[in-house]
Amino acid sequence: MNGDTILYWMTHLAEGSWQTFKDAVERLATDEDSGKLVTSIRYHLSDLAHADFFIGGSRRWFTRPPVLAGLADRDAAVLVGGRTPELVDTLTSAAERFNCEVVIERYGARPSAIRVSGERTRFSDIAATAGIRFSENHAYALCGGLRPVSQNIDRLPLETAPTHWTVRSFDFDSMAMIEGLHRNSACEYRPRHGVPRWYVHTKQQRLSPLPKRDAIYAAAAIRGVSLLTYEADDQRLIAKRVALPPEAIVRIACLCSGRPPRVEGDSVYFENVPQAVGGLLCVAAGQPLPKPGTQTTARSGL
Amino acid sequence: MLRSLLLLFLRVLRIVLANGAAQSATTHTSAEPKRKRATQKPSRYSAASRQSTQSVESPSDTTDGPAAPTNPTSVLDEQESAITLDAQKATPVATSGDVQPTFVDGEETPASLEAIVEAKVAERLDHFVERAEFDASGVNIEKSIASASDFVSAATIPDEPNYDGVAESQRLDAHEPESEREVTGVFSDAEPSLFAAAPIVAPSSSRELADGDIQCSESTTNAIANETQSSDVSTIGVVPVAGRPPFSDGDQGTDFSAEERRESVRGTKAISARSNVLRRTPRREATTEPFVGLVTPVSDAYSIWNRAIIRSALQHSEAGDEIYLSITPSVLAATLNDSESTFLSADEAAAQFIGAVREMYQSRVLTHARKLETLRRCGSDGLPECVAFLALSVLAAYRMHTDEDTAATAYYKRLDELLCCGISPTGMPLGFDGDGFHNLWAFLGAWLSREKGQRLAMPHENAGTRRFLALPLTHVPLREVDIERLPTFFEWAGYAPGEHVASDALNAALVHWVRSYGGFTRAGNDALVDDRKSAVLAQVAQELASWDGSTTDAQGRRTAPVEIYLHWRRRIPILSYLPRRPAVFPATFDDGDHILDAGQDGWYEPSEINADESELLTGFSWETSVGGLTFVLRRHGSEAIAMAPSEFEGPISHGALVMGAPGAVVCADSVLPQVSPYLERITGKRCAHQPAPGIRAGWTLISDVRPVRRESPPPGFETLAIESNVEIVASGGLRLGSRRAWIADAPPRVIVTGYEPGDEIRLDDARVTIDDDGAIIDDGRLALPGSHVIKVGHARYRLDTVQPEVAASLSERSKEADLQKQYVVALPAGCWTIIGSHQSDVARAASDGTQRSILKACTFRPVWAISVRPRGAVVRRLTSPVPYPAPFARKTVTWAMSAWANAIYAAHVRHPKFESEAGAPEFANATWMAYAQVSKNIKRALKATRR
Repeated sequence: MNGDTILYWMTHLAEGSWQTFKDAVERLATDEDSGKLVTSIRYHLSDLAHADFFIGGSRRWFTRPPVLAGLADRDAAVLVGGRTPELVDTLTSAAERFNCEVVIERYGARPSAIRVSGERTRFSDIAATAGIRFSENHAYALCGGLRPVSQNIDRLPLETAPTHWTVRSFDFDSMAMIEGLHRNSACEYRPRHGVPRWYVHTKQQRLSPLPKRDAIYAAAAIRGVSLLTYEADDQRLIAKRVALPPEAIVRIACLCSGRPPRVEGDSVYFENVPQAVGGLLCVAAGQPLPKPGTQTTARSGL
Repeated sequence: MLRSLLLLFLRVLRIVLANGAAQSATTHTSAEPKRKRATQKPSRYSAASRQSTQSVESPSDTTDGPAAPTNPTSVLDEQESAITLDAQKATPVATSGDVQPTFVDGEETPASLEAIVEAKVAERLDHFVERAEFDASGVNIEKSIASASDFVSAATIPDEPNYDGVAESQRLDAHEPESEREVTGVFSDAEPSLFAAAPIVAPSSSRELADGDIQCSESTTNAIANETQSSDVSTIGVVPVAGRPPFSDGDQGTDFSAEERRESVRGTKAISARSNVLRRTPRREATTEPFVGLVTPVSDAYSIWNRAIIRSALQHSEAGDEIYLSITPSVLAATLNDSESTFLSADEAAAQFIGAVREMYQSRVLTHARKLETLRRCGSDGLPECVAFLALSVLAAYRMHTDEDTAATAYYKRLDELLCCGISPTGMPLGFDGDGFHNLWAFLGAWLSREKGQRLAMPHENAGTRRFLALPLTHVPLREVDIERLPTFFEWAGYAPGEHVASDALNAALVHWVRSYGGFTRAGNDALVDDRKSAVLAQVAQELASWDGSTTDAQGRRTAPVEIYLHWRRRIPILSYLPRRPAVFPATFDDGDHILDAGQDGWYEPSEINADESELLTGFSWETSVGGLTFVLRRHGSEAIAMAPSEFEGPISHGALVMGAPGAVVCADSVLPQVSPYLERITGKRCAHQPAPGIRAGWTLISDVRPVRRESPPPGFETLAIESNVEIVASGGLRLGSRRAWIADAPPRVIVTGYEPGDEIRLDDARVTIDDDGAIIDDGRLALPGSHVIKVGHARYRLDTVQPEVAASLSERSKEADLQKQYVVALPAGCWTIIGSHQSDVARAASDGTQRSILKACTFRPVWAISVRPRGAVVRRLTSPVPYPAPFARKTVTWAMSAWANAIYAAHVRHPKFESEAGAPEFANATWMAYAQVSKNIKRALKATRR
């Protein structure tokens, strides 16, 4: 399966329902496990800023506008957002014209990454020639839209628990879901038919609706649990595989290097994350601000 | 020069004409017997005619009363205003065929008549001058003069009236609604006040009526009242004509539209019963010759609709078939979707269509002297340009009987609502004339016959007084009130939205439904059993093709069915509920237990079945209310459910199994002994059984059911019958929304079901074969960008393969992103002042007791964060390299500048501790000093200001 076709299709439509996306991936999947592939492609598209999923609690996806995104490595940029074969061709031609190089990095069945390397001052010309926008430091620019999960908790509407729904909670000790509703935790309510809903169980023992990852990090902030590590020396952000940060944070971390995160064991590594951005991401995730030049390590706050 | 010559010529003609009119009046007065009708062509330039209007007698002076219907008169003129002569007084009287007389308290005044005649004279003079100018500019002045001469000839009074005197009793409107009772009355003379007391006689006696009496049904009078927009029928005068009803259609075919009748009754009322002059002209033969001349080009939007409607009308027909332009809003939406792959709701499609035709009408028809004739031609695409306009006329007919503001039968009023051009004195929309309208239909019919070998449905020759109205009505025998009942029929018959059902099967089901449940209104039921049946079936088929699956029940709740969807995940079957989502349904359906989000267009997302045995057996209903409307998703109970191929990956529940198509059956275990042998017989093999997934017990899934032979299902299992409708289903691939368009790299798999072995399957006019699953083997042709058409027998399916493009909305969002620049800073807990390089760049951030750190967004690029504490100050560098501060040159100091300077100064005097999150802090000391210096300057300026 070619994941690029999915991205072309999404670029043409601009937006659609989650079901159409799922159907589209399943239709193109051959012998692979389509369920896993749907998840894999969905997060790849989100992490590399090609598309947004489930914005504002909706069950829809939205393709992002095509942008040549400058990376933390100042001599490289990647094409994010939607794209078409014609746009890739135009960008490649423009890059050659301005003595830059275009490399297509492939990730199996997931959409490939179009990476431009060369003199950074020419990137804006290349983007203009291709008819798209150039964002100098795209990761940092995206930080402007960050909102700390801990701030969100206070502003969220409170809801009563759905009746006749089953409930599970995320346990920070075992880092797994356990049955029942537990205090100060992220919990998932599942109806008999339809999609589950995630809530964070606040200190006042009320439920505030949040996306899954946000709910887990909000609960971690309430309980003082560290889930993120920033290594200033290596300029990398490390998260736990079972508790990935909210999608906006992962996206910014990925766009520092222009590559999807590297998974090793139980950890997920985001490379080339500058300290300024790393600090922002930690704070946005409700984690403590890393000290300059020092290293903070994940620890259990329980 | 030419204009002057022509004006001179016309002035001479005017004088001649005036003399002629006076002579003719005298001639007729002396030559015609008392009750014989004399008709006169208008003498528009006659001074005598103007004088004559001064001497019109009032009705009170001339009416002899009900017992003396000696001078019944109907003064009618189809095309032009006429001067009618009072038979007794030899006084020319102005009436109007297309000029609206004015009334004062219901009576026409001589002054108004004079004004009308004057206006008409001027209008016609301008018309000829305009034509002369046009001709002189490019054609031939002689032609103009000849044309003017023709006009003058036509305006002269014929020696003998051409009224044939043939009586004909006829129904005014074959399509009257059931609400209009056919009660026949005999009205004597033209005394309006006596109509109410008129005796009621049987319709059959109409031919036996004495001269001077008329037969006029109640529906007739109602229709007249409706079309005149009058609330009081009794105020309308009906002038009796010897041996025939008024407004009737003689053998020689006098054309009397509703408006013409109206004009006649008004004019008669004003003129009196003694004015017994009737002018009748033979019915004109329809012209099918294309119009030749300069015309305004039609817009692209009109061309698209024109093309789409022709394609839609022809797609399921063959040579010799009768073609109907059954146009309703939903049909328009389906038409555009099918032809242009553009998806619109029914209302949107109707609005766009009406707008396109309206624009064309105003830019071409109204601006040209030849009006409707200008549409009697083929466009650059070789298609008749009048089709969309005629379709609009059908849409106006469809809208009759739909609102209370306008009389149910007022056709031209509704046509004008669509065209928005205003009503002419004839009662028709401006620029509209009956003969021209008829010619357009005839032209289209001739084109269909010549080019396609097909027949356009046309009304019978004896369509009667509503000959013009009958043209569009022929194509919509079912009006909106009946069409609204069709979803109930579709649901009852188990049809799926968009299904193409064979005409015979549709007829049988429709007749059964009408007999069992009453079906339509009386008028609709009548149409199903008389000679309009084929039109009804065509209209129902069109509606089924565009049906979205929703119905409205007696409580006004909108309901949609829940289908059963079978698909496989890692070769394990999964059964899901797949609710349909008509356009009116909410994007999220939430009844408390079921939360369903909108999925693929027209559907909610599938939800895996997790049910007990009884849920499918007894059926279920999920209900929610949004915005005061109630929406219901339901599934009727059944012991056996047939499934057929769908646009999804697997089959979905269907009203029947489809011959030759891979399907499945889900049935209760209790009926398995009856169902299983039947399935073995029709498939010719033993079908695989397994417990139905998702249903706790008692149900079985029988997959891979492909009927290969026909057999009646066991009694009570009609849902497992085999249908053989040819269906073309595009499945898989990456579809572009609701359009029948797919992305080039991922075309669909096209499955053909229900075809007979002898049927030829064609893809883009090339013969293709199909594989064992019924899918077309296209050899990669469907992946090529462009339009592709698959034809199997009568069935036709068009799809587009397109190269992906960047959606326009993405470009817009990219522009918005340029405008939304915001910077964000992460800081440790505490009170901070964030400053930028400009003296007005200042923001404050403070944490509450619970926060471990702060995230602060600001609109400027932050350079420093300063925290002044009791035991010293901390300056945190936020960017690298640090820009130097903007020089301070202003004499006035703002609050922001003061805050900016105070923060830097307060930290600086405390010998701050420098921190950095962006590189080594020591490199920024020099720039910090620059900031400190600017802050001092500002403070000095502030101090100077205070002094």
